[in-house]
Amino acid sequence: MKLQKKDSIKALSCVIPSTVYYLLFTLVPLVMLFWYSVTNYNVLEQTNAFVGFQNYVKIFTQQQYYSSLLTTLIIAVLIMAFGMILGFFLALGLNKVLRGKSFLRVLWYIPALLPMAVMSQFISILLQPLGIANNIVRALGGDAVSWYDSVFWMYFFIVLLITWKGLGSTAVLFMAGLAGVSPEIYEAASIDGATGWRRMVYITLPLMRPMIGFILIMGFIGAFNIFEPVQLISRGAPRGQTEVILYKIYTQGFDNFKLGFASAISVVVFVIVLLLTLLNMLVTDSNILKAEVAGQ
Amino acid sequence: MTAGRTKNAILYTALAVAGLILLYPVFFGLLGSLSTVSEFYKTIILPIPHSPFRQFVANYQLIFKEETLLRALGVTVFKMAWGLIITVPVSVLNGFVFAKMRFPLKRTFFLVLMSSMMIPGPAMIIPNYIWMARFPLMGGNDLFGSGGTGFLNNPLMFILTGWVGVYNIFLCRQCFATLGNEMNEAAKIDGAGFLRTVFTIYMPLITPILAVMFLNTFVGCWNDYLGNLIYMPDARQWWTVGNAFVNIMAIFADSSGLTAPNHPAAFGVAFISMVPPIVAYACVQEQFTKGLAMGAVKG
Repeated sequence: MKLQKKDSIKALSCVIPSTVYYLLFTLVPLVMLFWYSVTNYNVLEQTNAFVGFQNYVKIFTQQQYYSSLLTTLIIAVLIMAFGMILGFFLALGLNKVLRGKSFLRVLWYIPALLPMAVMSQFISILLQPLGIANNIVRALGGDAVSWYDSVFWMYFFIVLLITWKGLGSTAVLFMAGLAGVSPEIYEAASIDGATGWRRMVYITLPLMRPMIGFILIMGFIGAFNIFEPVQLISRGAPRGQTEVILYKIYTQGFDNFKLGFASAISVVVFVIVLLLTLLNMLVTDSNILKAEVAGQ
Repeated sequence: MTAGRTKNAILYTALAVAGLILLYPVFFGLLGSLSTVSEFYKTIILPIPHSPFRQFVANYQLIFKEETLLRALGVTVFKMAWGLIITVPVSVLNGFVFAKMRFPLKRTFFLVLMSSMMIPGPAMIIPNYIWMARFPLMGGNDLFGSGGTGFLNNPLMFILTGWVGVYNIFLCRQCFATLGNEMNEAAKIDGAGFLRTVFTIYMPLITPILAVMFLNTFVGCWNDYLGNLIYMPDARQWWTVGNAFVNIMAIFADSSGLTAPNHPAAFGVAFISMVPPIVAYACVQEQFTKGLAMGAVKG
């Protein structure tokens, strides 16, 4: 009994400081987020007054603000479309390889570790007038492209970069999902004569549905984190059409010093991402956890 | 049997080749940095260096003359080391306590900590900034957070913030929970103290999670970009390498200045930025993969 009490003291002397410390850096900003979103807090003009829902009205009525939500959504859809298809086939391939799997896995995971900012600057320099991206165009017999004036090319490079970086992690998740499909089911299916394509459509994909849902939602959540490619490659060009939501928050808050208004955009992001996270907890049933544990 | 092996070999080669294509930027950076300026401008797919060794010396000498880069490297190494020194013991200790000990309000504490994991990161950038700028009694601030600049532009921020990572605590707890209690009992009988039990008996058993923490800290610190822009806006001397690389690349590739642009040097900088994460990953790869399998995959 006495031992139990001593244990409790030890445990609490670990847990209480970390919880208090953590809440200090979490709860306070959380309250600030909602408070400043209904003010016109501006560091430059030194205003800090309550303005009600004015900021929110502005976000949902002025095209330049709500369109950045739309841009984020479009980019998310594109990334997910390419990333999931490529990642799925990559996982299938990696799953079939019998030997030397770990080398391949290392190879494919490397992009996930490389600095997004440097990679963005990398592309940005290639697209400059003196950069060499146009050499390829000329070699193919075309005229030099002015990349920054083209919505297509700006989207192309942003989506390319993010898909490239995310491919390894998507494949790791898909592999965990594949490993969760028990071999007995495949055996039973092959006795029933299901092979190749049919096996994929009727067994693998349905059984992977929770994992597919999980990856999809994680991808959408990830789209709210996109910053560097827009800041360093397009800077929103052309005409603000590639401004994603985080870039909008950054420019409003730190270039224009409108911290109150930027807080309101943040609250919108907060609500959307929180809803997605909750949705993810619903689709992620115990199957995925099992699959992850069985993954290796 | 042989058909299967041939098939495997073909698949393996295809995936390896595709993987190498994926690493195109790494090769481009390396070959670019070994080229002369005029060789670089002729590039179509990859730069073709003719005197790689001479250019290697010339270009990298130029890069490492950049004092901002060397300083940023120092700051980054310090930040990484400090991050590991603090977060690893804190996470291991808290993870152990939540997995293996009984104490009042355990569930409440755990739920409070874990629920904060659901708070969306990108939404917190602005309020985190305001809180850092208005932090009481820091950087000339009074008790109510006005008058000074708080933690902004202040390297004390590296040292005093970010001690407790809920995600890392969660990982450690999950991993400790799978281990038996026998060692705890045995250690107690042998008279080993609490800290000794945690750090010398239990911690070595979760090396995969330690590998995940190491790599996440390493890569997080090396790749940080937005954090420097926001928290150290007027203190470039405290920027980590992420921003230093980007800025030096821009300077080397700048065609509006007095000196002619030097693209090979710019891509040399890019190449330098790619090497340490790859090396760090290669070193802990085996343990890291095991860690992912233990559920760290959601990071």
